[in-house]
Amino acid sequence: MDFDSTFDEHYPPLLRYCSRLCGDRDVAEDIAQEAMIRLFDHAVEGPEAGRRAWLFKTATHLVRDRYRVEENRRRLLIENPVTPTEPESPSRSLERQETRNEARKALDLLPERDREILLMRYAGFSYREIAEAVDVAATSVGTLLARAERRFTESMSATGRLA
Amino acid sequence: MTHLEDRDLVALRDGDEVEATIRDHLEQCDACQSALEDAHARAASITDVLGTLDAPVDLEASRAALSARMALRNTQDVTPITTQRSRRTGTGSFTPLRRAAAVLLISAGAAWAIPGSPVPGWVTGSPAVERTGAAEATPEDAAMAARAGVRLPLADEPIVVHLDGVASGTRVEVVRTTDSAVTVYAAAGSTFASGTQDLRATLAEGPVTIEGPWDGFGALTVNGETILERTDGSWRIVAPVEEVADDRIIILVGG
Repeated sequence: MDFDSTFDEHYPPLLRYCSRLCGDRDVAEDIAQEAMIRLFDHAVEGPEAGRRAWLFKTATHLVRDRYRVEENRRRLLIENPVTPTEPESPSRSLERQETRNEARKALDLLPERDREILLMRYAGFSYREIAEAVDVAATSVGTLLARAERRFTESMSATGRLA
Repeated sequence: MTHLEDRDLVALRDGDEVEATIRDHLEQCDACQSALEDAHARAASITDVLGTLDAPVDLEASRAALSARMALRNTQDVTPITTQRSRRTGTGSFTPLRRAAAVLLISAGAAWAIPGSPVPGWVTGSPAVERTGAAEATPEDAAMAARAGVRLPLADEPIVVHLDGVASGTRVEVVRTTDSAVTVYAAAGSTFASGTQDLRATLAEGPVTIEGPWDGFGALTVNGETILERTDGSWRIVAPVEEVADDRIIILVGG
């Protein structure tokens, strides 16, 4: 397994997923790297799609372990607000920041499994891969995803940041 | 008439497997077709909102950090320092590493440990220097979790320095060059301060990773002892060299 090609293909979406899932960039980076290390340690072979699913499943479980205590996660969110680094106009930056904060809150309101399902779906995984990663029946993913989307959009709509 | 449920709509939208009866219903039901369009619009909105959570990624810094962690992991697996020092001294009277000495692992690719590398004068101490210290690294040392960190603007070509077996209260200072960047990852509880051209950290116990571009470090000191310094565009390792490998140089710090 080539380090650079594996890194280039899998690390960016994995880090994005972890960041969205846990809300803390440094923790996300730590977990994404740990998952990558385990991928190499276990020499997970097979098709790329299978490795990708394995990575995200491992990362999902690492995030669960890290945030088993809910209070700890809330504390980290307070101490480590995500701030943009790209240049933006002040008004655009403020709007983006507010949307980000509301999105974070809306995600936090979701049950852990719903949050994982929602984020894996929007990371491009199939229902079957999601089912395997979060330990639910594949036939349940559609129901759980629809519920997660509804709750998420209701939370965002209540703030006026989602039509 | 029973319309499609949300789960059917998202499955249709996402291209998941659905029963033929569901597709049949969709073809004949304007309300469900409209609901499916809403589901597509909702997915687009959620995609946009989730995108606001994504911060820019410095992939090269991440690549270097991951590479360094893997190198550190491999090194700790074989504990080369402990093995070599045990053979050399032939005694068992070692002071725990975390209290007496630290190991500096530098990992920046194979190129810089060979002639013609960016470190032409890399050995200035005695490779055979004897010191007390160097006990086996503990699992706690290997744990990289719960790290705190400071990040300054980054440039390309990072150099990665690992300090292993760091005792609580160890002081690290990095003098950096203008417009360069250095990142220090240390255990939670470490404190940091930075000036225009330096970064200072008082470390909590645990492994430490320092990252920065080749031209980012002016000097690195640990507890006031200069370990690395950059002069005339090249690097000089001041501390005693313990081991040289293709991809890393291990030197001793403190004592």
